[in-house]
Parts: sequence; C-alpha cells; structure tokens
Amino acid sequence: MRVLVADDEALLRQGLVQLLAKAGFEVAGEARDAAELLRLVDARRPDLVLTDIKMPPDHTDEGIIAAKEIRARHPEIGVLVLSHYLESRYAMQLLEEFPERTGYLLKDRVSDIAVLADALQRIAEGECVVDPTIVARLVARRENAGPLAAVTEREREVLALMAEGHSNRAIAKRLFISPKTVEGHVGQIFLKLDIDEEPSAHRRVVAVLAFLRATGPL
Amino acid sequence: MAVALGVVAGVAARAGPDWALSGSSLGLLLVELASAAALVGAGIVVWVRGPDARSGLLLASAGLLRLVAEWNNPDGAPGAFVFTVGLALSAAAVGPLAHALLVHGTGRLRDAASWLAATTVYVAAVVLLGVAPTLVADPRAEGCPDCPANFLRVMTHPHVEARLQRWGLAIVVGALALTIVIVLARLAFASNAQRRLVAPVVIPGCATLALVAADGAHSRHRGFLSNDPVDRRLWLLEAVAIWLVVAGVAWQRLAARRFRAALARVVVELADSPPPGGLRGALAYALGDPDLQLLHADGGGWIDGQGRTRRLPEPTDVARTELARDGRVVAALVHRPGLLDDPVRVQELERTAGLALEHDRLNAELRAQLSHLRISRAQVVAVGDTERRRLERDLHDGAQQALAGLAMSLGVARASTTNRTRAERLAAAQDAVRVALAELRAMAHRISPAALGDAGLAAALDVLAEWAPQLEVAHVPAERFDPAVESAAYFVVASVASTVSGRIVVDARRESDTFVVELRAAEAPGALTELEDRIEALDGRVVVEQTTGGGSVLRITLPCAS
Repeated sequence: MRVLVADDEALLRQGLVQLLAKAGFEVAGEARDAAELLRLVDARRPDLVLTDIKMPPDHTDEGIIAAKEIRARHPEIGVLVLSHYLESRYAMQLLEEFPERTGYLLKDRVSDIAVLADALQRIAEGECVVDPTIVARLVARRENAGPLAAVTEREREVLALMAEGHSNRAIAKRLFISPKTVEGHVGQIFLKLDIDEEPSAHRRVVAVLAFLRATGPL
Repeated sequence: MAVALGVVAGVAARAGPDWALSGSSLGLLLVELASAAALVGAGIVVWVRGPDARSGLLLASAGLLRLVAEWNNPDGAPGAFVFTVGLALSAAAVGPLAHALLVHGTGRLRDAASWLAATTVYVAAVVLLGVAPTLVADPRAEGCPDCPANFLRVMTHPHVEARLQRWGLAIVVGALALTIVIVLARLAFASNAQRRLVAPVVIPGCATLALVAADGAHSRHRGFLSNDPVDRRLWLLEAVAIWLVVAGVAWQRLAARRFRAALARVVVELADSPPPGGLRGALAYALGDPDLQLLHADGGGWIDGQGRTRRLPEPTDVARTELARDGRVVAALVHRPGLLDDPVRVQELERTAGLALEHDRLNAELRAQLSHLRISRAQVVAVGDTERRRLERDLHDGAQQALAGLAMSLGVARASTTNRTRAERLAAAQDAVRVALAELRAMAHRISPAALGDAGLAAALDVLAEWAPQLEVAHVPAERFDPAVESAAYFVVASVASTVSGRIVVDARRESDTFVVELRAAEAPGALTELEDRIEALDGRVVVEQTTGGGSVLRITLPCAS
C-alpha cells in the first residue's frame, strides 16, 4: 500500500518513513505542510495519508482540516492524523464528519511498528481508529458515576474497544469471545447508557465517543 | 473724607445759593450731595469686590470730585483754600468718570481710541476748564470784589482765561462724545455675559457723560461754566443718572451673590448626594451648559473627573476658562463661548467651588492612579499569559517532537533487530520515552492548554475535564471572549480543580456586559490571592459564598463589553 507522509519536522518524517518501510508500506511522498500535502495527494493518489496535526503556517489544526479535505475529495483515501494532544476534541472534530477511513493516534504510539501497521490496515479496510489512551481516559473519568457505574467490567472493555473504532468481529477476536456474545454486550451497553443504536458501525463509534465526552451533569 | 468734602460743599452751597448749582433748594442739594457720596461708596464696592479694581477707584474719585464742584462758591466758600480748590477742580469729576466707563469690567484701556478719549477728557476737564484758567484768573478784579482770594493765581489774564475755557468746553464735548461712542460700541459687540455684567453701570454712566456734554455745549455760547436754570436742571439730571450708576453697581453685586448662592447650593447638594456626573454635572447644571467639561491639571496634563487623560481643546474650537487656586491653575472649564466672560462669575466659581474642586481633583487623581495600576497589572497578567503560551509551544515543538522522534528511532531499531534480548531492551527504552512524553504532555497542558487559544473557554474546559475527572462542566457559552477574560476564567477553574478533590461543577453565563463563572464545590477552595489578582487586573470580582450544605460557591464576574 502506498502511504503519503506529512510532518513539518524532518526528524519525525524520516522516522515515520523508516517505520513504514520496515512495516512493508510503500512511501508515496513526503510533505512539509498542508498545502504540499494536498498537492501531493492530488498528484500521486496514495492509498493512505499519515499527517501531523500542527503544521505551518499557523501550527494549529491544519492537519485535521487537510484530512477532512482529503476525505471529502477522495473518499477512497484513508487518513491517519498524528498528534501530541491527548484531548478527544481533535479526534471528534475529524470523526464527526468522516467516521470512515480515518484515525487519530498519539505520535509516540505509532513508534511501535505493530500498532502503526495495524492502524493503517484497519483504516484501509474502512474502519476508524481512535487512540486507546484517549478512550481509556474518557472511560475512567465516568467510571464511578452515572449510567457507566451500572456497566459490568466486561461490558466496559467492549465499550472501550467500540470507542477505539473496532468492529464486533475485531472485539470478539481481542477478547477471545464469540461475535454473538459481543453483540449481546453491545445491546446491553446501549440499553444501559440509553444511547440510540446506530445502524452503521462507524456512526456507532461517534455515538459512544459523544456519550463519553459529555462533561455536563450525569 | 466724602462726608468732610460734602459738608464743605453743603456749607458753601447753603451760604451762597445764588452761585450754587443746586440753587436755593435744600432738597436738591441733598440729592446732589448724596448721589456723589453714593458714587464714592459704589466705587469702593467695585474696587474691593470687582469686576475690576481700577474702575472702582476711578468711580470713587469721580464721586469725591463731584463734591468739590460746589466749592467755587464766592459767597459760600469758607476760605480761600476751599474757593481755590473749587475753582481748579469744579469740572474735574467727568475725567475719572469717563475713564472708569472706558475700563469698566477689565480695568484696562484696551485700545488707542480709548486712551485718546480718556486723556482728552482729563486735559479738557481738569486742565483747560480748571487748573489752567485758575492760574490766570482774578475773580476780585473781574467784578467780584467780595470773592475769596485765588491763591493759585500767577498772573491775571482775562483773555487767556476766557480762551482756555472756550477751548476746554469745545474739547470736553468732543472727547465725551468719543467716549460715549467707544463705550456703547464696545457694549454692542460684547458677549451676552459681558454685556449683562457691565451694562447696568456703563449705560447710566454714559447718560451722565451725555448730560455733562450737553451742559458743556450749553455753556459754549456763554464761554464758561455757570449755574443758570438750564445748568441747574442738567446738574440735577446728572445726579439722577449717577444714582442709576450706583444702582447698577448694586445690581452687579446682587447678581454675583445670586450666582454664588446658586453655586454654593449646588456644591453643598453635591457633597450630600453626589450625582452621576459629580462636580462636572453640578456645574453644568448651575451654569446652564449641559456640555460643560471639567478638567483638572495633573502633572502638566489634564484629566477628567474619571481620571482619564484628556487633551485641553484649543480655544479656537470652544471657550475655556482656567480656574486658579492660590495663584496656580488647578482646573479648566470647557464651555460654550461667552458663558464665563464675566470675571465676577469666574471669581465666584473659584471662591465657592474651591473645596469641591479640590475634592473632585483628588478623586480624579486617585482614579487615574488606580487606572494606571490596573492597566499595568493587566499588562503583567497578559505578559504572563503570552509567556505561558510560548512555553507550551516550545515544549510541543521542541522537547515533545524530539522525544517522539527518539521513540520512532527506537521503534525502527527494534524492528530491525533479530536479537530478542536487544528487542526487549529497546521496547523498555521506548516505554521510558513514552512515560517522559506523557509527563511533558501534562506539564504543557498545565502551563497553557492549546484549546484555550485555538477554540476558546468552553473547549478548553471540556479538555480540562478530561484531565481533571472531578470537574463537571454544566454550561459554558461557546462564544469567544477577550483572550484575557478567557484566560482568567480558565485558570481560576484549573486552579480550583487542582486544589479541590471533591466534585466541582462549573456554570458560566453572560449577563449583558458581564461574564459570570460559578464554581460549586463540596469543599471551600484554598488561598485565592493569585486568582484575585488575575481577576481584579481585569476589573473583575471574586466572591466565595458558603452554601447551607457545607459546600461553597466561588463566583467570578468579569467585564466583557463587546
């Protein structure tokens, strides 16, 4: 698979290129900012894009904006956004609009080659990917209060994996349980948390994240 | 002195009614003498209380000289000295009177024409009609053998004497006409306030001058001043006109007193219940100029009642009047043209409102200092916030990036090795780097959350709630506020969240021009000094209330005019 890398920091760009090569991906090009990234995407049509969130000129959320632009223009190209920010709001910004073939991971997490390869693979297959640390934090802050207190340990595991973007099948595989059991847990979770069940798997991620992110009274 | 001169004049006139200007009537004599004495009194009042000292002195002199006019009575004058002084000064009174009218209000002869008019009247009335003929006249040799001696006589020259008097009469009529024209013209072109001030004195004054001039014209055929029935009637009318001058002076004092009383009332009311506009508002009301501005001198510049620095408008745009205290300009009034042309009003203002002015000035200075202090405090906070943002960026772009790069290099190395032990060591090193990154990330967030600058308070508090699980964001408006307001509100919440362990609920709302943030916590927040500084630097307030359940509500209000 051909991957395009965008980061204004040369050291990180090189690190990512080496990691991708080791993981068996073909690097389709390197961009230093969002404008160059969009140009290269149009010219080279990669399968996947790996982009930093903060890039010139303003160093705010250029990566997110570019990711949305790419997803809108080329629905077949997947985008994984990398960042130093642990906050869920950037991930949510991206996922709310484009819950398919997108992902948000912390930079240091992708230094693990297996994680990087897995994330890119899942995005290429149409899933979305949300950093487990972000999800874990969201789950933790609600653990002992409100409807989440009524959720069992196993259900909480399923909930976290759903929020990370995993499909029922993937969850079943991870937890060594049958897909049928996962479906049962999911049904219980949606019932207990009073979340409307979403027809699409992607929308499900957004709904679960939105529930977890809510900061108001429980 | 006036009484003494008057008594002498009275004695002279009573003893020689044929020669007296008042004739044989005691009543007329008293009217005449009393008018002159009243003029002396009025002059002294003007001298002491204004509008100007010089015209006061001149009016008093004119009054005294009118008392001398009866002294040249050959039958009545008690002695040669009185008779001679009477001869020399019988017509002199018109000199200082004309002079007084020319300077009244300002005390200065303002132009060459005024100077010429005054000088000519003096020369004609005192020299040509008085002293000079006296030097050459010998009444005893001129058909009055019983007259007292003229001890000023140097020689006897009846022709010279007659010519001097003729010239004197002609010139005095012309000079008085010139004086009247100048005074009335100036009155016509004066501002309303100025006119209101001087008209009551100068108009009857001009009438007096006109009567004197009329008598001069009447005497021209005769060649000398005398006391025929026309003279006597004119002399009486002059006395009446002088009474009107005296009444004019009284009116000036009355107007000034009324103004002062009105001012004093306003100033006293001001002390009891300061109106919103303070002294400025009170003066605007008392002077009847709603746009009146009051500025205080402050270290070379000017400040208004609120302590704001102001520029004194150029006198070409509006009228301005400076108010002095102990000879130092302490304040300035900017007002509509003509409002304070009357120097009496300015003096009354300085006198009556002096203390209130001083009070208002001190208040304004205090406000100015407070405002400087607040601005510098706000600047210190703003500089601190900028520094925080810079630090956060530096951490992100520097240390965090470098460590992430290191983690990736370790990842590449780990993927490249087949040695299991080495791979495990590299994995451990990777984990250590990730722990360091996690700590750096938390530190960067504590220093300055990126969301605050990028997306505002609501987003930043949502982010904070992910870091501080006990924080519950009930409601925060999504709108953007001034960065200083957002920072202040954010750091108050963050600081309380870092010190209070129990649940904290944030509720924020905008109330017109105020941003209110309420923090409900189960326990009271700790020391708030640093936060109070931050909030007060923005002119905001911090209040902590205990709730009945033992909890507390921390409420901050910040001005957020948009």
